[in-house]
Amino acid sequence: MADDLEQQPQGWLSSWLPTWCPTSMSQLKNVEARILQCLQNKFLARYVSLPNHNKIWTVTVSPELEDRTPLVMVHGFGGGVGLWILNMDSLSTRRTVHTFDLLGFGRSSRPIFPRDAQGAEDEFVTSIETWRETMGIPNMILLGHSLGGFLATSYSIKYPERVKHLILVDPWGFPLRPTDPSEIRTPPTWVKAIVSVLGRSNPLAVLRVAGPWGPGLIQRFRPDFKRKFADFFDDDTISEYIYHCNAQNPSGETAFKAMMESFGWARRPMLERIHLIRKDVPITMIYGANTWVDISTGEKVKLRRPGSYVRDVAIEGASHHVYADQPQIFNSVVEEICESVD
Amino acid sequence: MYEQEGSWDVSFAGSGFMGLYHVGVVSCLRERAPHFLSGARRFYGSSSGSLCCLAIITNMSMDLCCSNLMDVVKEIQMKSIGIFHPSYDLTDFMKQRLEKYLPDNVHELASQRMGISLTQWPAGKNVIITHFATRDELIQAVICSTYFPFYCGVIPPEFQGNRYVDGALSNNIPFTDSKRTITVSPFHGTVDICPESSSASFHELNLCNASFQICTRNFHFGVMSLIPPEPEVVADVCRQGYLDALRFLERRGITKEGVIPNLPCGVISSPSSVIWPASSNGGRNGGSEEKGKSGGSCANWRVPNVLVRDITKFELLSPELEAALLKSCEKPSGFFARFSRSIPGQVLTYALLPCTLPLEYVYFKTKRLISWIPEAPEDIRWMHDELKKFGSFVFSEVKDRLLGSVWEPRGDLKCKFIHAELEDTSETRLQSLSSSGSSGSMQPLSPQPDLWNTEDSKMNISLAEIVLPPQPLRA
Repeated sequence: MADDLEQQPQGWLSSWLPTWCPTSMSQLKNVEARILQCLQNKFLARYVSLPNHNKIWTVTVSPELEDRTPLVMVHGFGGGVGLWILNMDSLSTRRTVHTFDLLGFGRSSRPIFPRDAQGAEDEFVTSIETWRETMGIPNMILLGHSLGGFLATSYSIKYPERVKHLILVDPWGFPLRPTDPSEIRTPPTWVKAIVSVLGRSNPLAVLRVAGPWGPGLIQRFRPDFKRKFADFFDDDTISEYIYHCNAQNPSGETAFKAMMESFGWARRPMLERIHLIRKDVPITMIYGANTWVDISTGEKVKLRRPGSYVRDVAIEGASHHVYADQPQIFNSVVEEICESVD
Repeated sequence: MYEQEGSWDVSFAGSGFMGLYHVGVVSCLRERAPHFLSGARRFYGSSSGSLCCLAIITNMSMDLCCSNLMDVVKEIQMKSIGIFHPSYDLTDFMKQRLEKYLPDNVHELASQRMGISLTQWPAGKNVIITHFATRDELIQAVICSTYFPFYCGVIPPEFQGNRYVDGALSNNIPFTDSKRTITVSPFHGTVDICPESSSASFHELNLCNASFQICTRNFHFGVMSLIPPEPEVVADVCRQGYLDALRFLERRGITKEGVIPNLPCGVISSPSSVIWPASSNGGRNGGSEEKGKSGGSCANWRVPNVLVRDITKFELLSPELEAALLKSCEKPSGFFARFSRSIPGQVLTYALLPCTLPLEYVYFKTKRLISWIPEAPEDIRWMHDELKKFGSFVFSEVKDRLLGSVWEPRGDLKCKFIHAELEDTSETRLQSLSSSGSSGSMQPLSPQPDLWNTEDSKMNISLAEIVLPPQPLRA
């Protein structure tokens, strides 16, 4: 057995869980291998060991094109490197593309995160920085989707000298939670009560509770993923991939929950801190026109960063998963940004 | 995209009592962009969406649409225990109203321009009906499409020899994938015309071919679509529909004059540039950026989202809709109605409930039984057939499970080989690519312990296989 595969900690619960959920790291590895097979360009897939013994699963496409600034892509909540399959080839024609599974997600290590919002966020950001150091990347074009966008922003606040351009794709965690009662007719108390009880669990706990029915749940309730990737896979590969990414020990998921409050608001919203990014770091925000992430955030970021480069773009016909809904347009937009860097 | 007539369809989601949202949308489209409705090729709808399609093709007045839907809401409000009251019969009510208000040639109009989504029972297959021979057939199709099982009754209605239930259960927004379909839904989701969400949640559920954001309000809307709230709340849903449709029209540049920016409210903020997919504007720009343009007309993404609460005088926007809503919200002013709404009346109603409810129950159930008698033989025959089918299905399943696992080769083993093969091919490639082995590369899959895959289970009937569902992930 490969020693670089992450082993689940053997507690009484986790030794029992795999028999309930039909998942394991090796199954995830198989599905991912099936996805990565579609890559045309040269690629390198391996674990990168961090000094604190965590391992980050990294896929590098076109490693030989190292004379240009590499593009580093950070996936969103519940995702992994495999979801970039529609973009990796196209974006790596002229420069190296690095993608990795965030700490606590996909095939990377799943440590126990601090339970407070700041601690969890710092853990993520530190893991990205040490990963960059280990990889020996002096600077990069940093692209983050959803949760990845939040973390990429947080990273840019701390390490602006490493970021040549920050690309945020439908980023999570920007808007401030409205403090005034935002609706004239709020839902009745009993609705709120039910929702708050449900909200106590991890966001994707239902997948693990469902056990053998989990993969079916994804196929049943997220058939859109299969549709988005239909050009590459006409079977359930992507649903399986998402299942195996999320049915395992919920480490990154718990950290996400620590950073969020009441269904999706960030405890430490990025809009409050966006001005802390150094003035000379350019930001481009790419939204799907049909997303429910607050599109107006782009305008607010502009207001908070006067004199700095902020551009916002919406792609028509795309929802939250912009990169998969309109891959060609998304790729060409990102390509254009990268070309503007070098 | 919206210039050439007949190049787009409009699809209305099923949403029970939230269907009044569609009325607001239609009212706005009719007032502000009549060519948008007249130029559409076909209107699709499931459940209450199909009622809305009917209203469009028969050009029903807003007043009538509102009052018809609102009457049900008010009727439920009047009943002591709401939808659980024995006298509540949605199907019957709708049938009466449809018989009364639909014109004689409605089936001809509908055959040209309408599609109704139905769910075959019990197969669960989705069917979209676009041809209606007679007026009665059309009415029956609408009844089938709104028949939410166990809510409207237990025996699904018949249409063209098959049994159907609510179309929303299998396909809530027909042709939602098609780029030429404009979708309308009162739930927060990735739909063209829908209320903009104020929740920050990015989790999404894809239920019955429609996408829903997982948030408190959608949950509330879901409950509201089956158990209607106060008429005033429903009226606000309708007004929101009007505003959302207006936002859609102005953002897409379908209407020339801007109404929303002149409203004294809202924050003006939206992306400065929008990139349209090549397919939606004839491939002219091939994916390159085209600032604020869509097929020739100017799109304006700075049109803000407007909520009902921001609008103080809705009658300025749409006098007709506002008047219709106010009128339909009016409570009956008779002496009895006023008394039963007053506090003593309410107390009396609930105090007498234990006495009145059984009587009412017997009365209304008998009445329904009598009206069912003409259809009874047909229904009983159908139930008999279904039971027989189900019985033979269970029998054959059990037989297959018990006998099949002894004689047939195990499926898991086959799947294992495929896994191994896949692993081989990807492995060689990865190995050849990884230049330095410092951080290692993908390792070949080692045999993993498999719950169902022990050697000796080949010849025996393994208990795990019978009790547990088959392992769902197969190569």
